Amino acid sequence: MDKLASHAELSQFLSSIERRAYKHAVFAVRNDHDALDIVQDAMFKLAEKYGGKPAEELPLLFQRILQNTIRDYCRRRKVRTGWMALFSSLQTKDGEEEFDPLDVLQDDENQSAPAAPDESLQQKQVIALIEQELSNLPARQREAFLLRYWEGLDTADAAKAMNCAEGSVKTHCSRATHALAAALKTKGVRL
Amino acid sequence: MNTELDPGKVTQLLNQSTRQMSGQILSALNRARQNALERHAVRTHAFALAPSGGAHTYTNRWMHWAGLHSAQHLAIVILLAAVVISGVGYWHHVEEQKIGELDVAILTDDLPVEVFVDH
Repeated sequence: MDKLASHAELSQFLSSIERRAYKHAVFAVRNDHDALDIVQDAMFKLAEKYGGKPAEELPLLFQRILQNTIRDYCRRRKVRTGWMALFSSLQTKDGEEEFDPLDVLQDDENQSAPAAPDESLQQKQVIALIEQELSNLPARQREAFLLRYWEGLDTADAAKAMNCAEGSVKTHCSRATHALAAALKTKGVRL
Repeated sequence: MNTELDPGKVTQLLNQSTRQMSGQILSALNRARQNALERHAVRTHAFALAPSGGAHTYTNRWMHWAGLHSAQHLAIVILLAAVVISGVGYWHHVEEQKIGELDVAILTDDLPVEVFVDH
């Protein structure tokens, strides 16, 4: 019989994965609170339903749960957005805020911006750019890229987590890498 | 198309990003983890308290008992039905045989005496 994951093992695993899991969710839903809810849901499901699994199976199981929870959230949001769009189209436009050109005005001649940023600030900016571009990637490409390179899953495990063929994972990874490189290049970032 | 991207460098920067998360998010993640661990503890405790066979042993036993007894009941009902049907068939056969003998006796004008006797 399989050995149950002990309380300490589960705790250690969750603390090792929680930050990356949160980032996965943020890239997908672009909302901090919703991302926290998703991570919490995934943790609950793992602890309740798969607490009886061996510790070595936890990473793949958690990734599958997390990706499914993110997909469920996106489906619900799509339905909700559809209904909201329907209702908002029925409402009068009296309540809309007036457009203020000053809100979007860019002052190109303003030289009061801080001088050359230090290295850490530059790094933060690069990280912000990468995160932004990852969010902009198609969901499946982002999943494949993050699971393969960030989570370190092999192609077979990534395919299991994404519920698709190994060939699809390779294709998504390749496209994600190309798209990310091209997007970062346009922003002057080379990695 | 530009393919010069080292995924290792990207993930390195992403790891850097996870180390720079705000305290608010980290405490929220910590709470979520503690809640999940509480649920795991409750589940493990339930398994430990249950007799061998798991938490659903009593339910399983009842299901097993009910299944076994319902099978026995069904067998008994089928047996009784078979006895009743064969009894009725035998009775019907005997009656037909009696009527046949009576018909033969009427045709041969050899009716037994007891036919004319009031019972």
